[in-house]
Amino acid sequence: MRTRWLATGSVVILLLVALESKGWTQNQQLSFGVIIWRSPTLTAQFWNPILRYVSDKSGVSLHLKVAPTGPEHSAMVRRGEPHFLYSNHNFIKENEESGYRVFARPKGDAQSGEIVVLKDSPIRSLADLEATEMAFPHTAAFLGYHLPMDALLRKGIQVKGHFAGTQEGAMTQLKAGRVVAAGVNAEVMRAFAQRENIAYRVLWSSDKFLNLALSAHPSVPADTVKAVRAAFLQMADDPEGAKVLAASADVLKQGSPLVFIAARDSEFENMRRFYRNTLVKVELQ
Amino acid sequence: MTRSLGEWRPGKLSFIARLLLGCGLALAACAVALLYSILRGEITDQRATLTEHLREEMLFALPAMSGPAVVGEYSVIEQMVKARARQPVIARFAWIDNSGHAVAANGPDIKVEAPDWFVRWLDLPVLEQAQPVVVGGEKYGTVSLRLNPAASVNKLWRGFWEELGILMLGTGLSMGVTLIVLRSGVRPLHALAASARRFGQGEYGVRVTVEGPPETAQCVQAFNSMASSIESLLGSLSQSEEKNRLLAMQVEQSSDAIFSHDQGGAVTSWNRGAARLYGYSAAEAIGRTLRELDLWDSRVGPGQNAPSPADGAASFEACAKTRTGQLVEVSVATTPLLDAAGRPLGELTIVRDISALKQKEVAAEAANRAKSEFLATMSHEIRTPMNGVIGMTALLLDTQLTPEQREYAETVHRSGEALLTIINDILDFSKIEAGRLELEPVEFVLRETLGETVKTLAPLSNAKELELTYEIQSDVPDDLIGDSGRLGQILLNLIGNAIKFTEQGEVAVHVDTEAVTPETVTLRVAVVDTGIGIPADKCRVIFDAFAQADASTTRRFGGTGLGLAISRQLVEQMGGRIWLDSEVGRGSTFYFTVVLRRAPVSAPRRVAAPPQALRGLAVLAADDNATNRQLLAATLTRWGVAPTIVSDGQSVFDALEKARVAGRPFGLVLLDARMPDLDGLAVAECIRKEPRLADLTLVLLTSDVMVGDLARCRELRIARHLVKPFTPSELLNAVLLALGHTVGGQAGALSGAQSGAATAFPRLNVLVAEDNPVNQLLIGRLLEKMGHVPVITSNGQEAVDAYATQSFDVALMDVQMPLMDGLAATAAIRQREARNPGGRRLPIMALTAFAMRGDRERCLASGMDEYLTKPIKPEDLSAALGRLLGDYRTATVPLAAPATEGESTTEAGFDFTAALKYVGGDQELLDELLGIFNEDAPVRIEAIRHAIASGDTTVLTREAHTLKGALKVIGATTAAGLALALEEASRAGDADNSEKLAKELEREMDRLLQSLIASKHS
Repeated sequence: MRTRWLATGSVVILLLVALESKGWTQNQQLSFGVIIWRSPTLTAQFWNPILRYVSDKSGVSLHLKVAPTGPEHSAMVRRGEPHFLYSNHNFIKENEESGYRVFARPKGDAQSGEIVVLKDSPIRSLADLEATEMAFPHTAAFLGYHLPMDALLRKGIQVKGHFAGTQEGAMTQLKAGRVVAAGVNAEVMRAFAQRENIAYRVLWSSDKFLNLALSAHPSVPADTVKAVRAAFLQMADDPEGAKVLAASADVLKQGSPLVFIAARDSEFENMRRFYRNTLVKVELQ
Repeated sequence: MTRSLGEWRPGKLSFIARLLLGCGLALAACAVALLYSILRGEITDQRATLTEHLREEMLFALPAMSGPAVVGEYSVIEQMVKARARQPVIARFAWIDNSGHAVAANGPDIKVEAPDWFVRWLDLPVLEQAQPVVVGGEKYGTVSLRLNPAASVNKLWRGFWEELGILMLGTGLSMGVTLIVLRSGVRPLHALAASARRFGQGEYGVRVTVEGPPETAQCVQAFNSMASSIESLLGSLSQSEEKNRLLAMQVEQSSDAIFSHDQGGAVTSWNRGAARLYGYSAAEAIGRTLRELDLWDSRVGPGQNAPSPADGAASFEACAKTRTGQLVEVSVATTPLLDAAGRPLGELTIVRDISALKQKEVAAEAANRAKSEFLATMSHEIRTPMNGVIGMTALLLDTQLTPEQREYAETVHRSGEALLTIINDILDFSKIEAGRLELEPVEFVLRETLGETVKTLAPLSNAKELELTYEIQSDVPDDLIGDSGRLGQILLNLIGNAIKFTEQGEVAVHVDTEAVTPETVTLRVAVVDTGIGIPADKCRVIFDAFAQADASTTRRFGGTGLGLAISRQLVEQMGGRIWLDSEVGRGSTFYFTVVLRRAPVSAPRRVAAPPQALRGLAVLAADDNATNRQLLAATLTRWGVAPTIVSDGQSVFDALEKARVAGRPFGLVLLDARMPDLDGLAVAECIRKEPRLADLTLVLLTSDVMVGDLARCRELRIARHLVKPFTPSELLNAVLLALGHTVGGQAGALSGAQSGAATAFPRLNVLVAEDNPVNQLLIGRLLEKMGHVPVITSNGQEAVDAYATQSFDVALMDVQMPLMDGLAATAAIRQREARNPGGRRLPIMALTAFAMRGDRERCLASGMDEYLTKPIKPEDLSAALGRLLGDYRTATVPLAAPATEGESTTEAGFDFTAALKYVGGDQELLDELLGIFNEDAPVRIEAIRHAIASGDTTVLTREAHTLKGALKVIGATTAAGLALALEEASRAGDADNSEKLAKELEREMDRLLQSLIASKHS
C-alpha cells in the first residue's frame, strides 16, 4: 500500500514536474500561436478580440503569440512553444514531431492549385513549359507554388519562376504576357478571369486540399482543449461572438468573417503526405 | 558748435531735428510694436509647432511601437526609442511595458542661447505626454515623450535679433532719406527766411529764387507774389497817403468851413475855414456838440428847410451864427459819413459864406433890370423914329415924285432899312447876350415862309446876276410850329451873306429833314454859294460875335458882323446847331438844323389879298407918337380903310364906346405897346374884360418883345404883334393874318368889304410864275392895274404849291424857271386836275422870252392854253386873258390915258411913248423900271466890256440877252437891236463883229442914259 501511495505520489510528482516543465498551470495564460499575416499589429488587432472572447467563454486565458517572421513562426511550432496554434506550419515534415492535433478549422471548401495559360497560348502541355518563364504568387504559396512546382519537378520540367507577391499579381503577369504560364489558386483564378474577362486554359490541376487549422499542443489537457474548441465552434452562432468575428474581419477588410467548424486531424493527412514527399523546397510564411 | 546740456531746450531744436526726432521715435515705437507683434506671432507658431510635433510624434510612435510590442521585440523597441530621441526637439523618449520595465533615451543636449529674461518672457511650455500602446484591445505598454523647447527658444532668439536688425536698418534708412530730402527742401526755406527778414527790414525789392520741391517752391512763389503785392500796396499806400495828406491840407486850408460830427452831434473835425467863419478854434470846437456851439440861426437852420434826399446828402442855404452872434448867409452841403460797411458814422458839413455873393447877386439883378429897362427904352426910342423914317419914306415913294426926288427918297428908305438892320442886329444880340430873347412859336407853312424869304432876296441876287434857287425835299412836312420870323431871319442872314460874298455863280438853298417824329421835325438847311469862300482857320470863329473872315471884310462888304453870331444863337435856341464847309475860291455851304414841332392841323395859308380887301373896314389905332399916328393914318387911308387914330389908351375906350353907340363897331384895333398911363397890353386886358368886345381883333404894335410879352399876348388873345419899324406891306400882312385868324362875323365883314371892292373891279385871281424880279414887278403891277389879284411865285414848284392851296382863275407861267420850269409845273397842275375830275380846269398862259419856232407847240402840248411872248405889253396881256377866259371876264383895264400921240418923241433911240404904252401908261411903273435900268445898265455895259476883253462869249451872250430884254421893256429899240445883234454874234463866236457891235451898243447906251437923265430933269 505504501508502495502504491508512493507510486501514486511519484506519478503526481512526475506529473507536477512535467507540468512544471511545460511552464503553465490552470491559472496561467496559455499561448495561442498564429501564423503571421500582413503585420504583427494587424494580426494582433485581428486575433486579440477573438482570443479575449474565447478566453471569456472557455475560461481558458489565451495569450496571443506572434513570431516576427514565417521561419521564426515555423521554428516556434517546431519547438512546440504555443499551447494552441492557428497555422499550417505544423503539417510540414520538419514540424510533425511537435505533435499538434487539429480540433477545428475555418469553414470553407478544399481548394486545388492549377497551372494555367492564356486560351490562345501555343502551350499545350506541361512539357511545353520547359525552359519558359512562369509566374507564382510567392514561395510560401501552397496552392499556387508548392503544388504546381512539385508537379513540374516530378516531370522533370525546369521553368524560370517569377514571384509576383500575390495570387492576382501572378495572374496579372500572365494576362500581360510577361510569362507564358502561372501557378494559381484555382478558385481565385476563376474569379479573376471572370472579372478581367480573360480566357485561359488549365494545363494541370492538383488534388483538393484544406489549408489552415486550429490545433492544440499535446501537452494541453483535453478539457482545456475541449473548452477552447467549444468556444471557437459556437462563436459564429453566438451574437456576441459573431460581432467579434465581424469586427476582426473588418480589420483585414475580409468579405466574410471567419467561421470555425469542427475538424479532424485526418482531414489534413493529404497535406502532411505532400510535404513528406514533395520535391519542392518548402518555405512557409 | 557744441552746446552744453544746460543750454539745450526743446524749443531750440531745429525743424529737421524735431522731425527726425519725432520720426525716429515714431519709427522706433512702430519697430518695437512690429517686433513685439512678430515675436508674439512666432512664439505662438512655435508653441503650435511644438504641440503639433508632440502630436505627430505620438501619432507616429504609437503604431510604430505596436508591432514590436506585439511580437515582443525589445531590441527593435530600443532602437526605435533611441532613434526618435535623437531629434533636437525631443528631451526624453521612453517605452514602459506592462510590467513596468522601461526602455528610455534622452534627446540631444541643446544649449539655450537666449538670456534668461528672454526665455522667461517667451514662457514656452515643456510639453510632455504619455500614451498606452493598445492593439486589438490589449495594452502592450506606454510611450512617454517630453519635448525640449530649447531649439525653439534659440530660433526665436535669432529671429528676434534678425528682425531687430532689419527694423533698425529700416528706421536708419528712413531717417537718412528723410534727412536728405528735408535738407534739400529746407534749404530754400532758409533763403526764404533770410529774404523775409530783409523784407521786414524794408528791403521791399528782395525776391527768392524759386527752387526745391514743389511745396517749397510754392512757398517761395507765394512769398514772391506776396512781396510784389505788398510792394505794390505800399506804393499805392504811399500815393494814397500823399493824396490824403494833400486832401487834408486842402480841407484844412479851404476857405469853406468844413467840419464833421459823430452821430451824437459831437464835432470830430474842424478846419481853419470853420474857425474863421464861426470864431471857434479847432481845439475849442472838437469834442463839443453842435447844439453847444449853436452854429445856426434858430429861424433858418439845418433841418428846417433842408431837403432829405434818399442818400442822406443835402444842400441848402441857411444862416450861420458866429461865436459873436453875427448871422452870415451861407450855403450848406451835408453828406453822411459812412464806414466801409455803410453804417452811419456821422455827418460832414461844408459851409460857404455866400453873403458877398448874395450882395453881388442883388446888385447884378438890379443892374440887369436897369439894363433890360435901358434896352427896352433904347429899342423903343430908336425904333419909333426909325418907324417914322421908313414908313414915311415908303408913303412918300407911293406919291408922284420927280426922278430926282424919288432917288433921294429911295436912298433915304434904303439907308433907313440898312440902319434898321444894323440896329436890329445890335438889339437882337444884346437881348441874346442878356438871355432875354424869347422865341415866338406860331403855326406856319414852311414852303410859303421859305419862298417869301427867298423872294425877298431875289432883287439882290438879280442885281448881281446870281442864280438864286431853293429846294425843299418832298418828304419835309409843311405845317410846322416855330418862330417863323426868327427862322426867316436866319435864312435871310445866311442867304444875304451868300449873295453878298458871291460874285458869280449861284446861291442855292436845300431843305431836308434830319429826323422826323410824330411830334417834331429836325430841319436841315444848307445854303450853298459859289463865292469867295472862308479859310479853314476862320471857320471856327466866324460864328462868334464881331468876327468876320477877315478884318477888311467889314469894310469891303459892310455889315455888323453880328449876323452869324445871332444866327448861331437863334439856331441853338431852336435846339439845333450851325456849321459850315468852305473852300477858299470855291464857295461855302452853311448848314444849320432846327427842331420844330409839327402842327396837328394845317396852318392857314397867307391871305393873298390886296389892300383893297380891307376897304371899308373900321379900324381903330392908338399910338402916343405923333409921327407914327400920321404914318398909320396915311397907310390905312391908302388901303381904303376909314381909320380912327387916337393917342392914348383911354381914348381907345372912348372911341370903342362911341362906335358901339353909333352902331359901327370896329373890326380891328391896332394898339401901341408903349403908351403913357395905359400901355397897349393894359388896354387889351381891359377890352378882354368887356364881354361885348371879347371877339374884337387886336394887333399889338411894339418896339421890342420882352420876356413874358408873348405869353401875355396869348393870354389876351392878341391876334398878331408887329415889331416897329414896319413897312406898309408888313403891316398889311399882319392885319390880314390877324383878320384871317378871326372867326365868323369878322371874316364876313371882310368878305363884305371885298365884295364892295369887286363891284368896281371885275377881278381875277391870277397865279403868276416868274423868276425874273423885273418881270415879277412888271406883271404884278400890270395885273393890279387891271384890277386883278396877282399871286407871284418864283418858280414852277411854288406855283404848283400855290395852286394846291388857293383857288385861281388863271395862271401866267414863265417857261424857263429854276427848280421846276413852266412846262413841268403845267404838267403837275394838269395831273392834279385829273385826280379831281369835278374841279374846274385852270387856264394857263405861257410867258416866254424867245419866240422860237416850236415853242408855242411845245407849250400847248404840255397842257397850256395860251402863249404870250415877252416883253409883255398890257394890251397883249389883256387880249390874251380875253381870249383865254371869254369876253364876259375880259376886264376893262383902267389904264391911264395914253400920252398924246406926237407929244412924245423918240429921243436918241429911246421911245418914251412906246415905253409908257408898254407899261400901260403907268408913269410910276415906267419910272421904277427906268430907275432899275439906270442902275443896271452901266453894270451890264461894264460886264460886256469885260467879256469882250477876256473873250468870254458865254458871259457876253448872257449880258447882251439880259440888256436886250431891259431895253425892249423901256422901248429902246435901237439899242435893243444892237444888243440882239451882239447876242447873236457872240453866240456865233464872231469876235470881231462882237467887238464892233459892243462899241456901237456902248455908244448908243451912253446916248440913251444921257437922254434918260435929261428926261428926268426936264
